[in-house]
Amino acid sequence: MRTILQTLSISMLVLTVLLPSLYLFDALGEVAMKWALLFVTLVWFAVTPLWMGRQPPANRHEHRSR
Amino acid sequence: MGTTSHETQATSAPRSEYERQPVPDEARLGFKNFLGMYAGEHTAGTELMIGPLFVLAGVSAFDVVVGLLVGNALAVLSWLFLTAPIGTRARLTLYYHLEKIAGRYTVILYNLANGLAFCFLAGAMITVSATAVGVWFGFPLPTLADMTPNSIGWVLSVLGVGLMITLVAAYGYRFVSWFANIAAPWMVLIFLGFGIVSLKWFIDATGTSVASTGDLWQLAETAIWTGVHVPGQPDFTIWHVIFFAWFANMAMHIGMSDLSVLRFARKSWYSIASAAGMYVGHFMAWLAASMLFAFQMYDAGLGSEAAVIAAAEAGRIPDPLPGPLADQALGVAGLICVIIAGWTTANPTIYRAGLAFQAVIPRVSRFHVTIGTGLLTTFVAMFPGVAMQLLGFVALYGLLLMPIGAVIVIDYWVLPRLGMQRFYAEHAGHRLTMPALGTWLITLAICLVLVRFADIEIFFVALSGWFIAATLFIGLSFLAQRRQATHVAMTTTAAPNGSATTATRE
Repeated sequence: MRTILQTLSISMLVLTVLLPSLYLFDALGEVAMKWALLFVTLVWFAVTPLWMGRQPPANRHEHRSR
Repeated sequence: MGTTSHETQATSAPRSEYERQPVPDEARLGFKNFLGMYAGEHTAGTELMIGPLFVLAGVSAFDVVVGLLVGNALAVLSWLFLTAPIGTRARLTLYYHLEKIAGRYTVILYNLANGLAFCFLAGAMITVSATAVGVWFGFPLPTLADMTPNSIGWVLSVLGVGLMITLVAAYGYRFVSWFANIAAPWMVLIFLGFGIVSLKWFIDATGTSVASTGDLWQLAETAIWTGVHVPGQPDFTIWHVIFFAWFANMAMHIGMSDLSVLRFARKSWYSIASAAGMYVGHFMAWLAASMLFAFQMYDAGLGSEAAVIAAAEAGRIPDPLPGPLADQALGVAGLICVIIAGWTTANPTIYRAGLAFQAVIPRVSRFHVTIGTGLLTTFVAMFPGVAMQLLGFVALYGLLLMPIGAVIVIDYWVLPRLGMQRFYAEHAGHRLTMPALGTWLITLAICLVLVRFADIEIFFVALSGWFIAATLFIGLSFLAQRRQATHVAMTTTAAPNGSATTATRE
């Protein structure tokens, strides 16, 4: 699960740069770019807190066993 | 420009410990901790003000690009060769280190100066966030010429943002620290997005075909950073850009604030991680923010000196307001970035200012001090003149704390080689020492005189000020320590069985 969330977060970061770049090369309109970027932002802030700053399950188990 | 939000980010766990002892081996941290911390903390709300102010100051493409490359390199070298070697040898907080050199009362004065400077800095960050709120609610935003609040809407907006930030700083500071870490990677890339979108605007507006880096450079020189200076604003050359970039975080490197951070570094060279902060926040972000505003100037037909002078006389220079600029470039995502950039950096700054003030009035609880500090900061934020004059304020902030950095360097490296006592206040049992306090105040007075009467601009004076402070501290230390030695010798002669320690504690 953690890997999926991390992959999703990284995809959002890639899109954060990709969307303005597509706009730069006329592959995407300004309005579409802005809406898509808002969606990317919302997904980033919804998904990233679920894994960033939290210990991976293996480490949690290790901590409990101490 | 970033503030000292370091202390709560990557290295938050052990940070509350070792306040009055060197950081032990087991608490030291690896390179990655510092890389993430520096990269995240130097992309702040104020970058969105500094970039546009460069354009108003008339930077040319060569000046701003090369100036920032060189100035930021000098800043990294300052961390590498001035701050980190002492931080990783003494491994003490700045405050304890300074207390050992200059005594507790000097630290209190330092805290007071630092706290006030933090309030102004955090005020500028709240101003930045409030401009984004203004886009949503549609009240009149301040103009470049406004020094005081210009509408009830503006006052209410600043009040709302300021109170929220103050309450979070007082209650839920850990939450903001956690949230700032989450926002940092996204925020850095949104700044990059500002640059990409504004580049597109320039390409479309000028009809330029960019097929090579040469074409891009020509566009930068002729349309983006044209070198046309707006009357009433500082007039920047490459030297201004170099010195501004070098000294933007002067309080942290040359001023030695980052001793508190780098004491946790396993190796001194880890301080090179500051390059991540400088070249992301103080190169990419400043350039991107300046491009956003440069397009407003271009769009208004202000590409020539005559046009700018005429517009300035008619009061038609576009206002460098981060909220509307970000909204125009990236829409709501851009506005969210402006609010978060201001919020996540103003918060630790208010918290830190509160801690600084609490050291001055320890009887009052941290909660109440933070609330008071936040209200003061909110009041400052209502005056847009602080943010509009940010270039000068940043230079003044660095200058204010620079002499203390010189005192620490000379005390650590030079005094023992000259046969003098390191950590003199601790050795002599003083709560206030004239060499440190005298160096601080006299250096500042000389620097202000140089700025006022010798026409040396505030952006440059700190360099000569450092050498003045170093010389003064050596001279005053020599006088103070010789007098002390004479006094001890006389006391010992008068009472051969008496204690020299007793004599030194007068």
